Amino acid sequence: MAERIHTTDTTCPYCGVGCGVSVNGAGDSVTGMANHPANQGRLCVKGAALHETLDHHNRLLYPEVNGAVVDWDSALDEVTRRLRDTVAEYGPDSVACYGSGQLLTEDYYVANKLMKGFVGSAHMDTNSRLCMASAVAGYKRAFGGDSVPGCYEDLDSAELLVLVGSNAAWTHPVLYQRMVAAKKARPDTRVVVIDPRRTATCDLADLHLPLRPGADGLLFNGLLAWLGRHGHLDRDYIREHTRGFEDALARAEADSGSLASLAQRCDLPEEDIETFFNWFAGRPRTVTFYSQGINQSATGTDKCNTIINCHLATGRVGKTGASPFSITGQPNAMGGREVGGLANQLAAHMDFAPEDVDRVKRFWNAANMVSEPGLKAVELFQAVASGRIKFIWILSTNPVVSLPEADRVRDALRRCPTVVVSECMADTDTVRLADIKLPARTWGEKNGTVTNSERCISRQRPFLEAPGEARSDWWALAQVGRRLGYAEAFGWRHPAQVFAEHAALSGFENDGRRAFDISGLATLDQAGYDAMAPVRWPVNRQWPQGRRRLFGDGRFTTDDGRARFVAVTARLPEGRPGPGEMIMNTGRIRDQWHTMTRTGKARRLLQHIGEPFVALHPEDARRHRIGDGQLANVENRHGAIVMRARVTTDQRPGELFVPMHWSSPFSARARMGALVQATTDPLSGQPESKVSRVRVAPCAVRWQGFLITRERRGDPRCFYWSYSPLPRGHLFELAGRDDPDRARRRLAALISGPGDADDLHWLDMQDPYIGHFRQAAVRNGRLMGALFIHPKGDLPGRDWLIEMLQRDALENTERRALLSGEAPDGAAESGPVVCACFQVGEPAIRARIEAGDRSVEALGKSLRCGTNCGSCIPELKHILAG
Amino acid sequence: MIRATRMKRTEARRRLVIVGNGMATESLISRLGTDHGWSVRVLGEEPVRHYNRIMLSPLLGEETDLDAITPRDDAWYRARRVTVSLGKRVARLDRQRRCLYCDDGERVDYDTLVIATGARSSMPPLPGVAELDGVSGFRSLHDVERLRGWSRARPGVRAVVVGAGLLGVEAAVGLRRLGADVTLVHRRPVLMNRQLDASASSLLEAALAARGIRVRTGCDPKRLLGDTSVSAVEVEEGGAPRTLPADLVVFATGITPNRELAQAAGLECGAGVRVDSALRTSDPHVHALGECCEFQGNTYGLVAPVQEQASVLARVLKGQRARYRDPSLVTRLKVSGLDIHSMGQVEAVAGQQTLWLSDPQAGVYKKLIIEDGRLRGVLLVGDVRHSQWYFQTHQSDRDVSALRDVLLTDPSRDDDESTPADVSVDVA
Repeated sequence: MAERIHTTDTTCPYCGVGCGVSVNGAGDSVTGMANHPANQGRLCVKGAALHETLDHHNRLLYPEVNGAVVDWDSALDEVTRRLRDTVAEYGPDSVACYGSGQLLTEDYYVANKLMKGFVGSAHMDTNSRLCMASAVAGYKRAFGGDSVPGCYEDLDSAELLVLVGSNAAWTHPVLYQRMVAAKKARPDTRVVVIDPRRTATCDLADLHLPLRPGADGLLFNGLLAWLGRHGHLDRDYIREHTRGFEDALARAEADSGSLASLAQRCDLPEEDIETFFNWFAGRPRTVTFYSQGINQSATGTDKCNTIINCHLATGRVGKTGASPFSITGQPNAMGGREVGGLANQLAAHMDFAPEDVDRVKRFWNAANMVSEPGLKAVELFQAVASGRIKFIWILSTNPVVSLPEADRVRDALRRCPTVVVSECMADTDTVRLADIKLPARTWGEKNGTVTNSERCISRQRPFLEAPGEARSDWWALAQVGRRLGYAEAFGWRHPAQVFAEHAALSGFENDGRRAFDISGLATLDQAGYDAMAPVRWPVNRQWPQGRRRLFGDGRFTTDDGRARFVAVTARLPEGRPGPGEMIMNTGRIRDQWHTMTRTGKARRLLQHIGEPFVALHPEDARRHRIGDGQLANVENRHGAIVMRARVTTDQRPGELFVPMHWSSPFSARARMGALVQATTDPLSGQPESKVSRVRVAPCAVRWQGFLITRERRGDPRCFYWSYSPLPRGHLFELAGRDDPDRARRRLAALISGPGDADDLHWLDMQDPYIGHFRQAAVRNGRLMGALFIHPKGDLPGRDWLIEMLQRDALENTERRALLSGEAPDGAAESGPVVCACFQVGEPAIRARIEAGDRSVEALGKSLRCGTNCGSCIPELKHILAG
Repeated sequence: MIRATRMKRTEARRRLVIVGNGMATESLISRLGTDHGWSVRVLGEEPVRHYNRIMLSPLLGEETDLDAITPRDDAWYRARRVTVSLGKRVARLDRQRRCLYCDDGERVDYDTLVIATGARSSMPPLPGVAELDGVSGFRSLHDVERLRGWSRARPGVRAVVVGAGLLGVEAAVGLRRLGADVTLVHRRPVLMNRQLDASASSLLEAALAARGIRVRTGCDPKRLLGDTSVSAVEVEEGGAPRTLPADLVVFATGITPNRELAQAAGLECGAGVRVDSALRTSDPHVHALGECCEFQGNTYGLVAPVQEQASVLARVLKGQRARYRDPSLVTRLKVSGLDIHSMGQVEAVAGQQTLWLSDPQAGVYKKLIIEDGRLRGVLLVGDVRHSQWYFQTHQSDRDVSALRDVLLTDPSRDDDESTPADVSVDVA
């Protein structure tokens, strides 16, 4: 009887690539789905470690109201009561909802419908505001709709790949590997990376343009002008399919000036710029692949349009191997955009034009339809701070870490009368501030759909029982809708029904002007939904199997069907750094995702980079007297963070890079969002997250060290710490400003725990004069923890001790090596000691005999054994005799 | 070539006689090697071949046998042109005639004499010590055989070992292994107080207790009780008298150099036979080394200085220049499963720093005393892996500040300078 292991095909919950993942059993192992168009079998390290993040450690399991566990009915009643009371007293404008690109489309749809159609508040925004808003605004201005024209296959066939503000090698590894493969298959393909940093992505680059931060718009304006000057325009395309070219070109010419001036202002070598322009001119199949380096800017929308302008001017939109391609950061940023889960969108690619409002109102039969856009994320939380918003429901995101001026966000939520948080994790910076906590299902438990960067809708299917009382977000939202009295509007019993309604709305009175039309999926029943294969929208009567590319025919979703050039005068970021100030850039690292609540569970994802860091150029390190590996203090008037310095020429002088991921459960002082000023793009509302003015200085500490424990008993009480999970324990990197001996005594309690620890045996090493302390605890032959403290942090690596934590029984030699922190030296350790005076072991003696020693005297010459007290001579003779 | 041959012939006539057949003699012969001009004769009072005295404790505990602690065979001696006479007690030295008179009537002439008569247990002048049976020292094969005989005759025999120095601890362990009911009494609060501090002592005490040995510190014997054989030891403990029943009593309270032969011959003596840095006595034809000698007021009871003396004397006897100076001492407790090495100072004084490491459950304790970056004291209990490195480093007096972070855990791993310093051992 061959037992078949059940396999579930689902979609990865991390980045916007949206890879298909096959899961064996209840998450026993994961593999890439070979037949998923996004990844064709590939997975990155985060995806490949998904099964290591499925434990229920730190999960939020039960609803809580004001810290007390309650049942779902009580929690939902309380949410409804407070919502109703708030609306009654302060009006619907006092209520907000803040969602996430990690919600499923169904969750998003219900939240959007509840807020905009029934609560009557348009303050429904999302963390996609931090990620995609500028790209959306750029597409809408150019194409008349938020539609990505290309698809991933274009990466395979492009002759020129221009990566702008994207470290795809780390942020979208599967697409990066696809580019690597494409370049290998066709070595003539050229790759240009435009990024102030020399990132891992530059490995693939034929040309790296490390431009001045924020000068991207200027560079692309320069490209447009240069294309014009050198006769590389597609005049026919421009004439037939676009409007506004002459204005845009004139502005670009005025803006960019001569190549020399452009080079100077971009801080790039003139010949490198020219090389890029020449490649662009000569290679019609060009994909410009852009991401947060473009979007997260006060002029992000303009930057997007300078890129799109160049593609329109050369007719490179929606054609094989040719498109301006915005890559989303989140698994379902696109799904959120489709349902309209942004404050300046209404629903299903409809905005706030009166006819749109009317159409959606009729479709929903909405009781309290909004008619004006609501507040975008940054403004929305400012409204929380000012007291205008008195009720906020946050789903599946961690704004206290990720938003600009994050300390203000934290303070605002502290003061907000009602904070409802739907979350799968029990401890995040945001959950800590919730009045009402609703336990959410997470990846592996959720059931619904997501849409990736190439418009591909894929199913996320459950393969696990949800723990505790975790429920789907769409369900919780719908329950509140029903409690408000809208039983019919929120009557779904299955996500398939939500999806069908969403699909129906996309086709509702759609005369072809809304590219997002998946009405072809509106009649799916539950079985059809469950079996749904990945498909790229639109899916309708005309395109029943979906469509790879849009706008290839030059017809766009504007009033007149023509694309729009947008005339842009590029602006460099405001507020040049003053004396002693530097520019702080932020971003992702390879193995972490957002605020680490999931990826932070997998040890192997913290092995690449296990501690928050600040990267800076050697010149700056010298100037500020910061050594590589030392702790550095980064601060401005909004906040301060402490991270370990990485001195590297990958950074431009004057610029820092800080990873965006670390949050309070993972580090004491690493929430970079606290330092980002809440400056936003006027059109998209997306904050300028990559150009913050800061000061950097060495962080003086009296000691540094690390702590390894089996149990996590709270956070270490010391100036700095950073956390990594271990397979059977926990690792904290530490630093302190207090007396090291006092710190040692205090921190050791995190190993021993409170109360009786009679069977815990301590190993201790002390050099009190210099303040060097090491200790380890053993119980029943197992390592329970270790604490190493040194004035300068000159300590052994952690790996071997971590390995020892996995052991159920330590060997004697291992125990003896614990305080050295390093594996026992094989040669010196193995085998019985024969010569006690010189500590010569039997294996060494046998090795010498092999090598030709034939007498006790010869051995004595080689190894000195037997030459002191002589008591081992008989044994030496015995060994010699064989 | 010709010159070498001639030298060999002339020197072959020169007679080197060594009195005593202990460790000093064995070391000396070993270091003389095969390439020397002497005809060597060894006169040993004990009737057995040279054995390794520091292995007496394992021998007592029957962890080893006499064969195993007899390192050299006839061929070894033959190769070095050494004749050994066993059971030969020397009665008198005549320096004028340069000869020795033996108990058996033989007269042995020498050109050069080496006195290596060793030392014996000091027996304290307490009432009963001289009179009663069942009282022994712990120095010789004879002592071991006697103690073994008594223990075998009476399983569970009650033994009191007086003095918890190195030898006393070893004797107690050996007796316990034979099945004796052992009490180890020590006058001071710290065991092996010349080598250990209080922490190390308590580990040792725990290790001894784990072997079933009762340890009484602050306990001072006053007299032995009994008719013909000893039956109890009367002690003073915490200011009060107390009687410890005993079927046998072993004194390990110190040693006395065997200087009588030399003294009677008119050689200059203090506590031992006085020697200069060439190990020469007041008579230029007579040398002395080992536990019987006295150099700059010091006498010896440990292996390392004796080895060093043997090394120096061997060079002197080969006509080379060599000067003896006391090496750093490392004390090693020879008890299986209980490694204790100690060198230099035991406690830090003002201006010195102490580093330590401990794993009490595993019986590990290490302590280093540092002054100006130099090692001044090393104490290792239970983990003696790096003993040799410490020994060399201590002896070379080099600055180890750069290794301070790993000095207790892994001093040798990254130490490029770890070349053997002045422990050049001549191997025959």
